[in-house]
Amino acid sequence: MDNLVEYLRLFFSVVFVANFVLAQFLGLCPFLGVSKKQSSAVGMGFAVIFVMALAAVVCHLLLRHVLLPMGLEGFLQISVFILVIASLVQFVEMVIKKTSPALYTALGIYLPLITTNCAVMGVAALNASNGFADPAKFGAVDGLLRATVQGVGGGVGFLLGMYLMSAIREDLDGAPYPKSLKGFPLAFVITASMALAFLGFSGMFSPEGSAPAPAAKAAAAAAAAEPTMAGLAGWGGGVLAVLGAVLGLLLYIASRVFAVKTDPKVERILAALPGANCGGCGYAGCAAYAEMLVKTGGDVSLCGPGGAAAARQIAEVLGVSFDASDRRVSTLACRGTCDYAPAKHDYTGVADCRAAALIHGGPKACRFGCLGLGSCAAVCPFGAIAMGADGLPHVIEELCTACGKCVTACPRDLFRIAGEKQTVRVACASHDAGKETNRVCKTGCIACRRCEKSCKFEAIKVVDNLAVIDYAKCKNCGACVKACPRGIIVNFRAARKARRERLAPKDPAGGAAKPAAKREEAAVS
Amino acid sequence: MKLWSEFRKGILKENPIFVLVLGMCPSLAVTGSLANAVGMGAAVIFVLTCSNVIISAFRKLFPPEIRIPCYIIVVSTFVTVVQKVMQAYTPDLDESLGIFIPLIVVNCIILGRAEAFAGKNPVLASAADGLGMGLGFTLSLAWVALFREVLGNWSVFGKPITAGGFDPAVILVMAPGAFLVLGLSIGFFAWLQLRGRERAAVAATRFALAEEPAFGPPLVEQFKRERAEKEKAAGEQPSGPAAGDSRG
Repeated sequence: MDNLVEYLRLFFSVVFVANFVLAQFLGLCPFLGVSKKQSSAVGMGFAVIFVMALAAVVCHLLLRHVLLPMGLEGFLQISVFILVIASLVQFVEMVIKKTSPALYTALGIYLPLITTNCAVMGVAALNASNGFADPAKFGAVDGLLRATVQGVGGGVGFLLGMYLMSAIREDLDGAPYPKSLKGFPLAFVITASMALAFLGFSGMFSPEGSAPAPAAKAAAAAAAAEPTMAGLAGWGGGVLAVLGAVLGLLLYIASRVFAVKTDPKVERILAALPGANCGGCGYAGCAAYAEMLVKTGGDVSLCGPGGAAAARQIAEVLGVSFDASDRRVSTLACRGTCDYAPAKHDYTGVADCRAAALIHGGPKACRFGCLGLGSCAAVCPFGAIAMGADGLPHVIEELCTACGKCVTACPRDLFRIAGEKQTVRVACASHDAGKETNRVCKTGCIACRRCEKSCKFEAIKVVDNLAVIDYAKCKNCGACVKACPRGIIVNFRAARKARRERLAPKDPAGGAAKPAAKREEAAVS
Repeated sequence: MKLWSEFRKGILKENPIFVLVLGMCPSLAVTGSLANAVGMGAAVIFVLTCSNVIISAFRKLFPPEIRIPCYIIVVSTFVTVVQKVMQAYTPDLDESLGIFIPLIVVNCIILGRAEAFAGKNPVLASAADGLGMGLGFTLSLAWVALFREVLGNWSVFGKPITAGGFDPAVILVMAPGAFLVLGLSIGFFAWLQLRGRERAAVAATRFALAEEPAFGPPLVEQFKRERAEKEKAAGEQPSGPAAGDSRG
C-alpha cells in the first residue's frame, strides 16, 4: 500500500482531468442517449461503474496471466477483450436478474446498452496501453490495483458527467433555442461548455503518472514479433477456441442456473424491434421499452428506427390494433377566443403562458381558460400547433403525434390526448358554476344538462359543472353537439373534412393521397 | 444502378455521423487534425467493407441467437489487421490514434451496418453499403477536422497556413472544441433538413388556420357579424351566441 498516493492520483485524474466522457471522448452514445432524465442517468452511471470495474479486472488478469506469457497480446488483445466484455455484460445481467430483482430494475435495464459502450472497452485498452499488465513495470498486485482504480475511476467520472448533463438538460427542456439545435446538437453544445469547465482541472496533476512510455511499448511490440507466425497462428486459434468454449459454456450454465421466466410477449416484441438500443423511445433500450409495453401498454409507435413496420408487429403481439386511423391526437379543451372570453387585466410580460399564469392567476377572466400566449405551439416538436387569429392554438391533427409535450407545457392543463376516431369532444374545462362561467366567457359550459338529455347512449354527463363524455359509450352521433347552447361540444369530423378538402382543392385523387402520406410521416417520426 | 444507390445513401441521405448520429466517440477524438481524421476514416472504410462482405457471405451460416458475437469476432479480426498494418507502416498515425484503433470494434456504425444491412443482403450490395457508409464517415470526419485544424491550429494537413494575421483559437483543437464543432455541424445539417420540412408545415398551417370551421377566423368573423347585427337591431339581447350559431 506504499503506492496509495499513486492510486489516489490515478483515481482523481481519471475522474476529473482525464474524464472519460469530457476529455477522452469515450462512451458518448449512452452519455447522449440516456442523459435526458436524471433518474436514468444515475442508474446508467452506476451500472457503468459496476461493469467497468469488472471488465478492467478481468481483462487485466487475462492479459497478464494468459496473453502476455504466450506472446499473443498483439494479435488477440482486441478480440479477447471484446469477447470477454460482451460475455461479462450478459453474465452480470443474468446473475443480477436472478439474485436481486430490485437491483435489476435499478441497473439491469441499462446493461444491454453497456456492451456497445466504448468506455468499457476503452478502460481495458487504456490499462493495456498504460502497461499495467507488464511484469517489467508493475508488480502483480500493484498492476491489478491500478487497473481496478482506473476502471472504478472511469466509471465514477462517467457518472459525474452523466449526472451533470442530465440536470442541465432537464432544466433546458422547453427553453427557446433554435429548432435545428434540438436534440443532439444542443446536447453537444452543452457538453462543450462542460468540457470547457473540466479543462480547469487540468492543472491538478502533472501528467507523468499516466503517460505510457513509448520506448516500453516499442520493446513490447518487438518482443511480440519474435515468435514465428505459424506458431502464433496455432496459439492464437487455440486460445480463441478455448476462450470461446469456456465463455460459451459459462453463459450456457448461467442461462440455466439463473433462468428467470420472462413474458414470451416481451421476447416477441424484442424480436420485432431493431435492437439498436438507441434509447430514442425515451426508455433505456429496446428491452425496457418492450417490458413497458407488455406491463402497462402504451404507444406502440415510439420506435423511430423500427418505424411503422415495428409498430405494426408490436401491435400484433399485444393484440391491439395499429393503423394510421387509430392514432391519438392532442386537442384543446377551450373555446374562449379573445372575443368571447374577455381579459381581466392587461398582461405585457414575457410571451409565455407559464409566466403569465403566475401573475394574479393569468390575464383571462376565466380561471380555467386558454391564455393564448402559445407556449404549446412553441414546445410542439412537430409544428402541429399553430396560434390562430382568434387567440387560440389550433392542433393540426395530421402532424400531431400525441407526444404529450403540449399537455405538460400548458399551465391551465387544457390539452387532452384523444383518439382520432373520437371526433366529438368537449371544448371547455371550466368547473365554475353556470352563472360564474356565463359572466367570464360566452363559450363556456354552463352545466345546463341539455347534452345529457339529448344523448341516447347515456355517454355524456355533467360532472362538477362540466360535460364529460364517456368514450366507451359515445357513438359520435353528434346529438349533443346540436343540443349544446354554447357550442362547446365540437364534432371534429366536420373540421377535419373541410381541412382535407382545402388541402387539395383541385384534384380529388391527390387530396386523398396527400393527407395519408403526411400522416404516415407523422407516425414514423 | 442499385449498387450505386446503396453506395450513395451513406454519403448524404443516411450519413452515419450527421444524420444517424452513430459512432460519435472517434469522430470527436480524432478530428483534431485532418491527417488523423482521414487515417481513421480509411481504417473504418477498410473494416466496414471487409466485415460487411464476410458477414454477408456467411450470413446464412450464423445461428441467429449468437449472430452478434459472430459479427464481433469478424469485426475484431479486421480491426487487428488494421492495427498491425498501421503499427508497421504508419507508426506516427498509430501513435496519435491510440486506443481509438482497437475501439473501432465497438463503433456502432460497424455493428449497426452488420445487423441492419450485411446480415440480410447479398455480398455486392453489402460491399457497396460498407464503402458508402465508410466514405460518408470519412467525409464527415474530414469536415469536422477541417474546421478544427484550420481555425484551431491555422494549418492544413499539418502544414501551417502562410497567410498570417490570424491568431488560432486553440480551444477548437482541445476537447470542448470537438464537442462544439460537431454539435454545430449536426445542427447545420438538421437545419438543412428542417427547412424543407418546415415549408411543408407552414403550408399546412396556413390551410388549417384559414379553413378550420370549428374555431378558425371565419367563425370569429361570423360571431362579430351576428353580434353587430343584433346590437344594431334592438340591443335587447346584448351579446353571446345563440343556440346553433356557434358551430361550423
